[in-house]
Amino acid sequence: MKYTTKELVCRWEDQRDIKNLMGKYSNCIILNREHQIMPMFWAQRDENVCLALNDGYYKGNAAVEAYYSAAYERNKLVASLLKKRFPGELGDMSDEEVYGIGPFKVKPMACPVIEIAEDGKTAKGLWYCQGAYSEVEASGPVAHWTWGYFAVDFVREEDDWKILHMMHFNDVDAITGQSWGKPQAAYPDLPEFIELKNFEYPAYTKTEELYPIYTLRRSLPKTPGIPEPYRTFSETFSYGF
Amino acid sequence: MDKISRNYSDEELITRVWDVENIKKLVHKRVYYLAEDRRADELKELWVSDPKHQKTASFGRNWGYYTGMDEIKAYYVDNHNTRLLEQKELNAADDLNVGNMYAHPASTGLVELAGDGKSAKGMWYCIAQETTALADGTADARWILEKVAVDFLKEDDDWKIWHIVIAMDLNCEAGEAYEKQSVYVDWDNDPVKCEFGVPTIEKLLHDPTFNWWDNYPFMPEPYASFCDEISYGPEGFVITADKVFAAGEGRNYK
Amino acid sequence: MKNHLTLSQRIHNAAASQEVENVKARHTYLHGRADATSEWARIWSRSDDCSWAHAFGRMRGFDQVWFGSVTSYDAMAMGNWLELYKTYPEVGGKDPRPLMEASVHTLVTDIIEVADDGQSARGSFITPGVIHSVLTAHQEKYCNVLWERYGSDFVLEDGNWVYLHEHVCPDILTRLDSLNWAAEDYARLTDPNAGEAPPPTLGSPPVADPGPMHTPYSLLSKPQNTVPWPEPYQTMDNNNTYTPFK
Repeated sequence: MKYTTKELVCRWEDQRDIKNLMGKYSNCIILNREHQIMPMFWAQRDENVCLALNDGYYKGNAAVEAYYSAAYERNKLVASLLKKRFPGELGDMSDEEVYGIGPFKVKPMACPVIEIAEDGKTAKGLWYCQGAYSEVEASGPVAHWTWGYFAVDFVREEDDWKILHMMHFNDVDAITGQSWGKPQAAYPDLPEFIELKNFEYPAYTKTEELYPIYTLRRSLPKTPGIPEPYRTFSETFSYGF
Repeated sequence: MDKISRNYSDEELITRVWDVENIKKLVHKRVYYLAEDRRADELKELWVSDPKHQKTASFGRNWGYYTGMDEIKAYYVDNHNTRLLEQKELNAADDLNVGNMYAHPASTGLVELAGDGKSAKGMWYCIAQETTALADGTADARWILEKVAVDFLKEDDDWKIWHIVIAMDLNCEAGEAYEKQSVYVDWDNDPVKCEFGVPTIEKLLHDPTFNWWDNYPFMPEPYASFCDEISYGPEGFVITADKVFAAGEGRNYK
Repeated sequence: MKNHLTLSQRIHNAAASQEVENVKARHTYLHGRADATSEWARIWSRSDDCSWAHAFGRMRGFDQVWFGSVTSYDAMAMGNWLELYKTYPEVGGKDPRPLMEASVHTLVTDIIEVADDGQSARGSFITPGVIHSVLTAHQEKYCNVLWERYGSDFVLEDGNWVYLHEHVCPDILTRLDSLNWAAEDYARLTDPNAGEAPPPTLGSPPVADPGPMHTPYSLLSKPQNTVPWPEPYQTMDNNNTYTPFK
C-alpha cells in the first residue's frame, strides 16, 4: 500500500500516540492508579471491550471496569493493613493520604510492533514486558520478576486512540532471588497480612487457560500474534474473545 | 544531531522516518520469532535474501563470526535443532522445546540510516533469559545481558538483517548470586560460548572481563553510505589499538 | 493528530521525536563505557539552564553539571583503577573509565512529545538498568539491578538535538539474582537493629538544588510521580519542563 506524504505523517503521529498511550498505562500501574485506567485509556463506545489474562478474560465494560476497581480496592486494603502494622509512621494519615502505599508494580513496554489499519480506524500492537513488582501478599511484601506480553487492539474514538482488547500474558511470574526453573519456596504467611488471603478479584467472564504459565512440562507456546499490515479490522485477527 | 533533516525534502524526510521505524520493527519482530524458536523463519523472512548479500552476511558473538548464510544456518538452525533433539531424548519429552523458553527483548534502540537510504546500522541492549529443561526434572533458567549490533540493507522495499553481532556481558543462573562466580570465566564451560561452537572466523571480539573497555560492538554514528570500515561484519572489526594484556596476563611484574 | 500545524512542521517534529530517541540511547551507550566526556560534550546543551538531577539533588548550569557528571565521575574511575592495578596488572595501559563499571540504563516505555514550535521535546522513560563490573578492588564481580525512571527535556541547538534537563528517579535497587528487595525492605523496617537502606547512586557532587529529589521504593512510601509524563505542549516553559527555570 502506497501512502501519500500526509497519510504517512498522520500514521506516524498515530503510532507515536499509541506508544504514548501504552506508556501512560504503564505509569498508572506504577502509581497505583488502576481506578483511572478505564476512563482514561479504554474504549467507551464499544461494548466489546475485553481484557484477557493467562487464565481467563473479562468481556464488556462492566466486567473490565470491575477488574480495575478490584485492583483499586486491593490497594486500599493493603494500605489499611500497613497503617495498622506501622502506626508510628502511618497512623496519623487519612485513608486518602495512605492510599498507594505498599504495592510497587512496574510493567515496562518494549519491542513494539504496531500496525495501523489502512482505513485508519483501528490498530494493533504487540509489546514485550519484562517486569518487576512487589505486591503485599498474605506473606507480606514479596518482589517478583515477570516475563510476558501485552497484545492490544486499539480503536479510534474522535481524535484519540483507545484500548479495545488487551491480552496481558506472562510466561513467568516468579519470586525474585529464586530460579523459575526450580520449585519456588513461598514466604510464610504473616498474621498482620492474613486478611489478604480472602481477597479475590472478580470472576472472569470466562475462566479458561488462554496462555500457559511456564512449567517444566510446558510446550513452547506461540506469542499472542505478531501484527501484520491489514486493510480493516474484520480482515485481521483479534486480541479479543 | 539534526543536521540530516536540513538536507532532505519533507517527502524524503518522512520516508526516512518510516525507514527507521520499520528497521526497529524488524528487530522487534526478531524478538518474537526467537520467543517462538522460529530460527529458520527468521533467516528466511528477516534476513537478506539476495544471494550476493547472503554471501557476505555474518552472525557474530564474543568469540568470532559465522560468515555466509550457509554457515549461519548450519550454526543457528541446524546445530540448534540437533541439540534440541538430543535434549528431547535425554528428557524423554513429547516434543522439542518442552520446558524451554527464549526471551531476548531488545531495548534502547539507536538507529542510523545512511544518507543514501540504502543501509542502516543499529544497536540495542537485551536483558534476556533462556530457560533450558534438564533431565533431572529442573530447568536452567539463565539471565543473559547482551549488546546487539546490526547492519541492515534495503532489498526491494523491505529492510533486512545483513550482519549481526551479539556481545554478551554476562550470564547468571536465576536465583544465584552473580558475585559468587569466579572472576575469570571458565569459557570452555560457559553455556553461551558452548552453544556458539567454533565459528567460521574465530576471534575474540568482546572480552567482558574488562566491561565495555574494548568498545565492541561500537555505537553507530551518522554516515553517508556503507563501507567495510564501519561494518558489524568481520571486515569492520579492529583489534583495540592499545590492547596489550588479555585477562589474567601481566602477572610477572614482581 | 496535529492538524493545527503545517505538514512541514509535523514532519520536522516526527523526525525530531525519533532523533531524541537516538540522543537518549547515545546517553545509555556512552554512560555504559563511563565515557562522560563524550556524553556531556556531544549530546548536552552548554546553556546556563541545563540541569541534571538525581536523588541527592540537582546540578544547574554547565559548569556544575560537568564537574559532577564528568570530572567527579572520572575521579572515581581513576581511584578505582588505582585499587585494581596491583591485583590485576592487565588493566595497565587501559582507559580506567570503562574498567570502573558498565552502568547500562536501558530505555523502554517511552512517552515523547515534541513542542508545537519544534524547538524542544520532552520524554519520560522507564529504565530497567544493570550495573556490572568484573575486576574490582574486593576481588568479587558484581551485577546490581537498578530500575529508575527518567524525565528528560531536549532542545534544538544549531540544528542538533541535545539534552537540556535530565531528572533521574531511582526506584528499585537489588542484586542479580539472589535478593528479594521487597521482603528485605520489610525485614529491615521490622528489625529494630537494622540500618538504613543503601544509597542508589555513587557519590554526591555539589548541587544547586539540594535533595532529596526522589526517594526509591520503600514499603512505607507511595510510588512517586516525580517525573510526570509529558503532555502535548506549545513551547517549553515552567508549565512544561522537568526543571523549573530560574
